[in-house]
Amino acid sequence: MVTKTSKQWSPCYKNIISLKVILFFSIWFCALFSKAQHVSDTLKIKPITIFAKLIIKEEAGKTSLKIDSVSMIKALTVNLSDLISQNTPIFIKEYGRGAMATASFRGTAPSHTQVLWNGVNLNSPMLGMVDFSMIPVYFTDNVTLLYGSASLSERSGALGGIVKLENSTQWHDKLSGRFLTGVGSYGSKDEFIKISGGNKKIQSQTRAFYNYSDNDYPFVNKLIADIDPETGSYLYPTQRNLNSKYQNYGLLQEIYLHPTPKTILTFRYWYQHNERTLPRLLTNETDANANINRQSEQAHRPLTELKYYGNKGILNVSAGANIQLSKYLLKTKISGAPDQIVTDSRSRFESYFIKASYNYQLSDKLSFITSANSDINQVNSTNTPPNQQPQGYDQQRIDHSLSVQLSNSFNDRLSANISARQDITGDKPTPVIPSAGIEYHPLAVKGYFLKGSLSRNYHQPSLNDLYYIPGGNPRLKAEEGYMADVGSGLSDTIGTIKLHGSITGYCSGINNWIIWLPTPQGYWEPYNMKRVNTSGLEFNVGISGKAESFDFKINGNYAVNKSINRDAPHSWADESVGKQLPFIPRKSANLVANISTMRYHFTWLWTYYSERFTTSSNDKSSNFDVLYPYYMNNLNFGKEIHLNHGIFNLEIKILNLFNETYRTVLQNQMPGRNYSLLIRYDF
Amino acid sequence: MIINRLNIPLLAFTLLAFAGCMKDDLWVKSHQSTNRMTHGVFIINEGNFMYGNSSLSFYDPETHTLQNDIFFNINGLPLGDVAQSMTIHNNQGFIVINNSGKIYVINSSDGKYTGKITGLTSPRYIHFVNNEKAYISDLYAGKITIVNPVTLQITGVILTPGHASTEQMVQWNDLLFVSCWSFDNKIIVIDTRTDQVINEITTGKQPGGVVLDKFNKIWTLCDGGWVRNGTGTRVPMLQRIDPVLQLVEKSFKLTSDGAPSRLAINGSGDSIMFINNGIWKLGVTQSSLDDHPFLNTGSHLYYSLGIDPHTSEIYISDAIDYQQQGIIYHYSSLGAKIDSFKTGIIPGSFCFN
Repeated sequence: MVTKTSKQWSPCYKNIISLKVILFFSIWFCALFSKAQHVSDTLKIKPITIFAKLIIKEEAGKTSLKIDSVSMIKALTVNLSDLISQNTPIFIKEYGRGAMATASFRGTAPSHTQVLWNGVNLNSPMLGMVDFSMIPVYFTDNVTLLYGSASLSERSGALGGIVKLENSTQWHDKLSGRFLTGVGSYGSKDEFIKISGGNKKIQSQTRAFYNYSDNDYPFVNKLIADIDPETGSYLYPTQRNLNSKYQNYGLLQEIYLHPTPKTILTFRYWYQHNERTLPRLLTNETDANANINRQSEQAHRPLTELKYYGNKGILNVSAGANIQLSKYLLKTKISGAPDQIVTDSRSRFESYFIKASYNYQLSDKLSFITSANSDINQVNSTNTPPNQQPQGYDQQRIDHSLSVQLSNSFNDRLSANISARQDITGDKPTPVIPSAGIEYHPLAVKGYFLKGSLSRNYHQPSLNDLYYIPGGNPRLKAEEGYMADVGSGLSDTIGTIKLHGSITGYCSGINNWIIWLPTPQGYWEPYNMKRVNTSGLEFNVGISGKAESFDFKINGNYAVNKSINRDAPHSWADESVGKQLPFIPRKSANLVANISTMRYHFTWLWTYYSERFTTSSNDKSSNFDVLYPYYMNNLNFGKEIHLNHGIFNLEIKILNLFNETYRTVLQNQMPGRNYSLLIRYDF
Repeated sequence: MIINRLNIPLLAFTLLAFAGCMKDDLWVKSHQSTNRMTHGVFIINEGNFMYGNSSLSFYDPETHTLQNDIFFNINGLPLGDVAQSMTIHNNQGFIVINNSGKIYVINSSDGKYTGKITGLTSPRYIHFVNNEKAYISDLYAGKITIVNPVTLQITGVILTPGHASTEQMVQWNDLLFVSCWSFDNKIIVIDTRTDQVINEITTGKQPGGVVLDKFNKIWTLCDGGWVRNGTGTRVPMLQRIDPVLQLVEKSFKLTSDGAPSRLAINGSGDSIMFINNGIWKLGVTQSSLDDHPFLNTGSHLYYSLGIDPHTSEIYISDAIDYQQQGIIYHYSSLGAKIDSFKTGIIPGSFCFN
């Protein structure tokens, strides 16, 4: 058993505490000289965009969902995986608290969800996917989901959809900021600071965060047992979730320039360091000195962006990079012998991009958008087996893309758009990627709409898929998806109550779906499955308003999804064809309810995923073939205190309210009821 | 007013009705009665790496009855992550759980869990020297662990300097021959009286299986390792070793389009078999391999092979897509198909009772 070693991990923590105190008083001092800005989450419910409202012709027919500002503030201290699982129907597969989290957007694979940060693709060109646990909500101001066809307005390849993260500023002539500190169960600590200042010509925003957790929650392990020598009964050990601590910190600096009334120039730089160990499975009873692991990542993300607002159009030019260094070390200590390195895996990827787009309004009703971008992706990946030379690959791929979109408002009630995109991957052009959307408001009732979209899309294999040693398959084809959406929705106001609801149906067929399987040579190799079909329904409903002194807001999502394997059977005994893909739930739902009064606020978050199969045949002959349905309840409550120069917010979070014993994957125990206390100060 | 002050708590209460209750206890606890397992074959299903869904099946070839997931059903505990092998000694079944770092011990006739050996690193196989001493090989530690099979306590280690892992073991007189498979090309020789490494024999790349034939010759199957495209050719081979001279005395080159694996020997010790796409068979006195495999692979991806030492009947597993119950094909010693049945995920090895 490993003992608590937080001090080994956080030698800088004492300094950070001192720094925290200094910063706190610095901010307080700054606040005295700044004009109070009332940033409040006590549900002064501002108009919050949840789904399509007025017809924006460029977005006609496209399905998107913007996470509202209150939810963003409530989720400040969590990572993107928690924000998404609590507010959207996307399934997040989480390998434990603080551990890797991947997304399944409309039943697709993790690599089919792309994450863009102000246009920078955060997907690893090596793995093709994003670890959502590594993206802090602190560093983004707006989160929007673009479903299926809607993703093509940004780039190709997102067969599920795009999670779009954006930052923004306000051109205020004053200093403002936010300071947050928190402590929680299992030695968890959260610190965040944001300072914004400038004038109408220049704005600066600086954000920094630090979080750490021993993550050593206790539990009774029912998957292993000793036998009582007297009674013969089982003795289940009470254990702690050891080897799963994490430490993350980062800095985001943004400079916004407004040199002319029509020009905005932005510079951003995001640095982040993540470090964690991966816990053992519940059935693991290895030597405490065996299989000691550590994973670390460093990311550098510089970005510059120019926006020019012409009389009839907007020009946007941006360039940036996403550079990430990763290291994973697994070793065993052997008494009487040197430490044995079992796995020493290192990788470095560099993604550079340049993009230009121009949105030209040909008339009041007709617009034309064109964009072009080039990406250079380079991966150097090595793995050093024991007593061996490193082996790996060093590969580069250059991708280009050109797109045009024509959008028209036929009248106040009907808009449509069509687009075409041409990608060149490496030196090979993909077939043209077309897309079309239409939206119609048939009734005079404001907010009622019908919409639909169609598209084709291609997702290229990752560089690991192509070149990993051993097993990379350079003969892989791009995954080809055909997608269709239809939807309807309504929003209305009755007295002080605002209501909205929407339903969207979708289906897609993905040919050449990439999957890794074992080979006769003994290693795994990716190959193209024949086809996977996905289809489903998504519901969103919400109500908000005021009742006497109470402000309230409730928003819920419910999704039903089928992701069906339509591959050719491997043999007569193969029972996977026609079955739901493993680990993708058929149903998911979530609900967020906010109530506030007299500056007290109360939020309840509820999340549900139906059972998930762990086998491709959807067998149920063993308990381990199915993960039981997942329900989770979290509760936040707090109080705002308004001062002359700012607002204090004191908040308590209770996670896993009903102290459920549960797991999100087969063999990782999740924590029971746990708490955190947050103090936030905004000025 | 649609919602008034009284309705707010009511609304909150109603919302709480959505709260669920997960049943982890019901999910993991299970006790079911099973038939006795006095004669037949245990099938050790590896399960998926890091899923912890390995399982144990038992098949009775006389009655053609199959019992799946018996360890969990009988004992209410999962077997663990990547069950690698099983050996029966004194009516006790020792199941080596590679990525759980332990060996479960069961009563081999009723499957009841009686004890375990823990604190290992990445155990692969257990070999019994006598009733008080057994050796455990390890994939991720350069050592052999010595245990007492009665007390189930670790009593010592044998370091294997220069060899990061150890694999299969076979004993001739007081000498134990241990293959060093992972990125290695040696078989080390251990004197079981002194627990010392006394020699090492150079073989082809990555020697895995080792068996002893009726003439006291040791056979090993080298899969040839892995060679980066354009930098050479894999040379998998089957080799015969003289345990007296401790030298390779004969090598059979194998086709390089597969990964030869799962070396097995029949009950009379005169015929060995292995997988190399199809199933290959070689009499221990043969001077060359046959031109064609004993059993063709067809549409299958054969994963494992076992030969009943009592009847020489053959069991072959196909893991299909490695994410569903694998299938076992049961053949006579002459290659006539007798039966087929589905067990657990990735049926990886066989243990005959």
